[in-house]
Amino acid sequence: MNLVSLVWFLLSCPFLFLFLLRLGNSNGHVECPFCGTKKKRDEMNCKKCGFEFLEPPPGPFPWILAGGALLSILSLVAWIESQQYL
Amino acid sequence: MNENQNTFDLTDSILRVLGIIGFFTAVIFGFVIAGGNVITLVHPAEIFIVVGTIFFGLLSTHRSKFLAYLPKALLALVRKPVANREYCQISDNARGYAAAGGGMAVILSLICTMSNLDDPESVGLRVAAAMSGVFVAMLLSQGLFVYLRYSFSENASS
Repeated sequence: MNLVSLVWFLLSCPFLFLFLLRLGNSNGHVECPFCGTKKKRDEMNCKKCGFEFLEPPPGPFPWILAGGALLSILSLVAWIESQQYL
Repeated sequence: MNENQNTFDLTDSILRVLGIIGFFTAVIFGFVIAGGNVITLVHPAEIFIVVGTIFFGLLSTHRSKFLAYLPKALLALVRKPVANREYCQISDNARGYAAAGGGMAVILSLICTMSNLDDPESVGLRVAAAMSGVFVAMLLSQGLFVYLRYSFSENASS
């Protein structure tokens, strides 16, 4: 159990970190970060100033990231609990 | 946009510097209060991967504009900059490269960890090293590039 939860954590923690790092990217905004013009979700450029938004994550990618992040945290908790010195 | 409207405002500059220093101090001081050793956050290999990815990623994408951006960004840390769409764009792209660098630093560290599982005592330290890479990426992304992106926007200049 000790090693299994550690390996699961090691496999899934990149999802957690990517999930954290993608929080607040410019595509998630409802308005252009530069000029404040309202934008639609799928727009790649601001119509007014031409600001290029980060690429929107395709399809279920955000949910895969979120699932991986959850798995990472749970497996880390399992690994910490399995340590004999705790 | 009037390019000459960037006048020096002492109060604004003091508040900027205080805000930036306070952000980083709050994070590091909180870590120290929790019993952490600041030295354990410093892993040159992770920092090299993250900072190198951001720097060379932006250099390849924006080339001479990025080189012109560097002094403006440093100056923007202490005084209100003029709104500039290119610099706002570079700051936003830097966040993307920080995410990429942090992700790669983690994955490469985990490859090192998983190839040394026969030494259990070093696993904790190697996982900590992997986490420090993403910590640096998040600190730069949220603490520096979000600030720069907003500072170079028209919203900040109004």
